[in-house]
Amino acid sequence: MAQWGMAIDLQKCVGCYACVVACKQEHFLPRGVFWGRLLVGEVGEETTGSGITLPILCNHCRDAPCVDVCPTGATVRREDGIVMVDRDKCVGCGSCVVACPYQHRSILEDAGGEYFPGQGLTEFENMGKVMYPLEPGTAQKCNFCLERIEAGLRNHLKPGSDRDATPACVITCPAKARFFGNLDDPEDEVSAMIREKKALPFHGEFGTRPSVYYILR
Amino acid sequence: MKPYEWMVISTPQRQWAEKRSIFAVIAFYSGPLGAALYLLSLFFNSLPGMVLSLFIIAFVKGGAHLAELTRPSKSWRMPFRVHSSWISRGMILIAFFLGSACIQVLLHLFYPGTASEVFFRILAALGAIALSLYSGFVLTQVRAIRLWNSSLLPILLSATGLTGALGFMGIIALFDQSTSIMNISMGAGVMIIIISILLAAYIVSESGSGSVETLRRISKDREIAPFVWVGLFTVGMIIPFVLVTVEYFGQNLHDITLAIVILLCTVVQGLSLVYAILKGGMYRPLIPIA
Repeated sequence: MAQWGMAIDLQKCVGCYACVVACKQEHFLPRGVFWGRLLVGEVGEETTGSGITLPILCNHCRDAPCVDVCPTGATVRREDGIVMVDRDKCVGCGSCVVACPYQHRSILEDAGGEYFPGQGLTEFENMGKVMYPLEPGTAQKCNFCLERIEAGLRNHLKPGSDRDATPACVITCPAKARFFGNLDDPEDEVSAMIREKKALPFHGEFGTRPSVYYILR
Repeated sequence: MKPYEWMVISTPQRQWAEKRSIFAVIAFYSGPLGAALYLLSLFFNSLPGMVLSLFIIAFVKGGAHLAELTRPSKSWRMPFRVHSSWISRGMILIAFFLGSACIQVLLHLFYPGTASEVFFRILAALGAIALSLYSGFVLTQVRAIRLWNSSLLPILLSATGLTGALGFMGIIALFDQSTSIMNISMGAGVMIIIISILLAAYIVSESGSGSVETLRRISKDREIAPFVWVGLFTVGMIIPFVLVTVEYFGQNLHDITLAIVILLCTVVQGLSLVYAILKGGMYRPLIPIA
């Protein structure tokens, strides 16, 4: 079984927010809800410092604390390495939100807000309520676009290589800074990239063994 | 916190102890409180205390946990992940304690002193001990928040529960001749001293593990500091310590007003401590700032 993972080249990221928007669009996320984020900041001294952009998303940790603390089994790590939330099982206790050291989880408070208050729901929002109904009061986070992966695999496509089987943030990135694939396959592009460029997980010292790696140079 | 500070400075946890999750404070406190009250009631052989402890665990703690959930109708799924989740273990412990303690209370009423009552006393007592520690273990399991990831926390919360239970026993003792109010007053005074020592040890250990910023926030933040300085230290420790001393050495051993004030103070102490610990939990900054 494949172990899906991602590598993000920070040298290539231009901070355009396309990944953030693509994720919102793919999952019809309501106002104020983000599964992927882009942190933009400056490090160093005033004159010699430099800017950094850091795209962040759920790390789909192999030793995910959110999976351990979930009392209902709503948060599970699938055989393919994707950590997902089963909305039907989630009681909204918030223990997974508290346990994630990366602060990548939240409880969806209200899925009914309009993007344009007072204007009614747009056609896109109405479509989202049918195609991707979100359940208020449940935990939510990035799911590596597992619907795309599963649909792609059914059509004999290869996630990471074929657009229709690859997460939206990866195929949208105009700088081609994101790579997706099977971490267990040494021949896979993402595995080779991590190995050759000595990519590192975000805060590996947390001991959660993330499946998202960052290429620093 | 401003949006651009997110992940760049230490981030306070907001999931527990805000909005409806404020019920988590009551739930985390009433567990050790009810469990300790049951153990004390066994010690003093006080039936009202046993019944009250069952009420606290079943309705106050259980009710607070349900009120905290956004989808309580799904809570029947919660006891099935005992291999990894302390919340699941807590559900099992609550059921185990309530079951064995209910049977013990019934046996105490109809067949007191029989072998079966002693058996269920032992079972329920074991359940109560585990229940008094469980709230702390739920927090200790969260490695992401240094303040919570301390082995002292279960002991500290148990001690706070025991102090509150002594406050309740002080009231019960006024009406129940089987309970010694002298012992209760002395016990409450000793527990306040023990909590002071545990708190000092907890603060020192947290300072050593790099939670200085968290401790500074707890002592200064306008949402937390009043609970610490007024609720925990003044109302929760100094005033009841003075009162139990007066009660013990003075002539006020059967003053109901004094007993009620001591009870309220010990409950305020416990709730303030749990609130400060929950609200004070902070995540380490993920991105270093210049």
